[in-house]
Amino acid sequence: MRKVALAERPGWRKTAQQEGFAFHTLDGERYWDERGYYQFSQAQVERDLQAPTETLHAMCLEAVGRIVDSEALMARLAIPPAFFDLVRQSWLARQPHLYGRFDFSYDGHGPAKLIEANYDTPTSLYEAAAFQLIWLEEQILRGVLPAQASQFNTLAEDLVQAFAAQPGQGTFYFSTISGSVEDRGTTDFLRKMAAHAGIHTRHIDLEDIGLNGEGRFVDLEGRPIPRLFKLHAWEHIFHEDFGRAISGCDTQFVEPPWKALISNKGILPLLWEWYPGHPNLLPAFVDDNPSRPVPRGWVRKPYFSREGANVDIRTGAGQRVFEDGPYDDAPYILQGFAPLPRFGDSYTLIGSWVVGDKAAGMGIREDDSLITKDSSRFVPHVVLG
Amino acid sequence: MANSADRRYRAQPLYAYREGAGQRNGLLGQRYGTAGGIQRSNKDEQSSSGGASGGGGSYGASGRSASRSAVSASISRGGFGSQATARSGWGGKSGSFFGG
Repeated sequence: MRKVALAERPGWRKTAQQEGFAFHTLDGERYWDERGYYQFSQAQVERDLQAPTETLHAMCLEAVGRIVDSEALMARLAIPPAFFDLVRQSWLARQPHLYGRFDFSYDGHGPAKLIEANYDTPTSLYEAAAFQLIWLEEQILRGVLPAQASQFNTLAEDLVQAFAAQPGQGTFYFSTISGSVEDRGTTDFLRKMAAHAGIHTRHIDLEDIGLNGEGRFVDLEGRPIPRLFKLHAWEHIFHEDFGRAISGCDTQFVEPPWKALISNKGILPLLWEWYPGHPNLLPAFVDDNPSRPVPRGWVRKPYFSREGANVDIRTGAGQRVFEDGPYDDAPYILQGFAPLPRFGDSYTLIGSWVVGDKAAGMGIREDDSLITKDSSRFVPHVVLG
Repeated sequence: MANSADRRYRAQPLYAYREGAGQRNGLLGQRYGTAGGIQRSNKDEQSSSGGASGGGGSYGASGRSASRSAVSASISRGGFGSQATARSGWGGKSGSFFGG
């Protein structure tokens, strides 16, 4: 694994605009950054990323099966008791899931260490699945990269296959809260993949979903919504007005409720308890005293944090790196600190995607700090050698 | 259950996609990217707010669907989203509610 500097493609912004990649630049700062790329060997991808991704995915599914059998464990993960049955039944019914992403600390040497699992509402999907592939194709066509250059990236194909395998009939609605170009980019891309699988799709803003007198979720025309991809976290839904209506409705939700157990950072201490010393796991424990300073060499994280918010790092040398945020109303964990590798002035995070039950690709984020945020730069990668 | 040993990493260029009998038909990025990308058409769009406008704004649920109120007075709306909008404005510049 190494970082290689490279000239930007002339006109890439025009390509991005044509593609609808509207969030390549955020507030004048680069989000998509092709001034360099990361190069991996095939062995690194197979041994250190692909295989651990599928192993960890299997471990997470195993964990879900154990958690839903225990109300004590669901309570420990801060699932509201009123939703125990919804979560349990969604698992027992094998309600299908679509995708997720593990975030790793990995520098090309030794085992990748799991930082967290984004298994309910992962974004940065379009740029991983399509725009970095377009970048690769164009750089090969321009002769900048060799013809045998490849990517760990079957995301688009795998998503189409996953949609084709989704059960149920009828229109598939895709929904996100209005106002975010990035979130909408994710659902629009997924919608395209579903359409490639021959599925009729519609978009509906999350706030526009209706609940009729029969307890059915409906669109703006009052038509029932048979299948709904929602880029909206279950831990939010559990506390929203319509949450209580889900158990009695006939809408198939994607992701299903049981995904709330894996996207929850409370699963990390359970994984460490059930797979102690696993090479891809970091020591993790429920933080029983989150008001105390973070011990050296540890990271405090809320169960439901996103975008790096409320993450509190104390390095082995005692340096504190903290990101403020709104996720201070749930339990916390303490996780062993695995510093992100530094390439130049940037700290680098590997996002390893899962579609269905397959490792499906990789997206790389860079930030100037040890905490990766939603504005952290997306940098393409190449597999070569 | 997925078994990584059963699935070899594809050594051949992954940017080439295959259909039918396995012949190479084109470039994957162009198939899923340039051939429509994530550009949207107005077809099958449902939004009472006019769609995503960027910039991390949020919309209150009240009044969003007033123009559709004739569909059914018994349909309630705005029951999803309140928890996320309450936490918006943190953690970055994209305005994403779930970015990362």
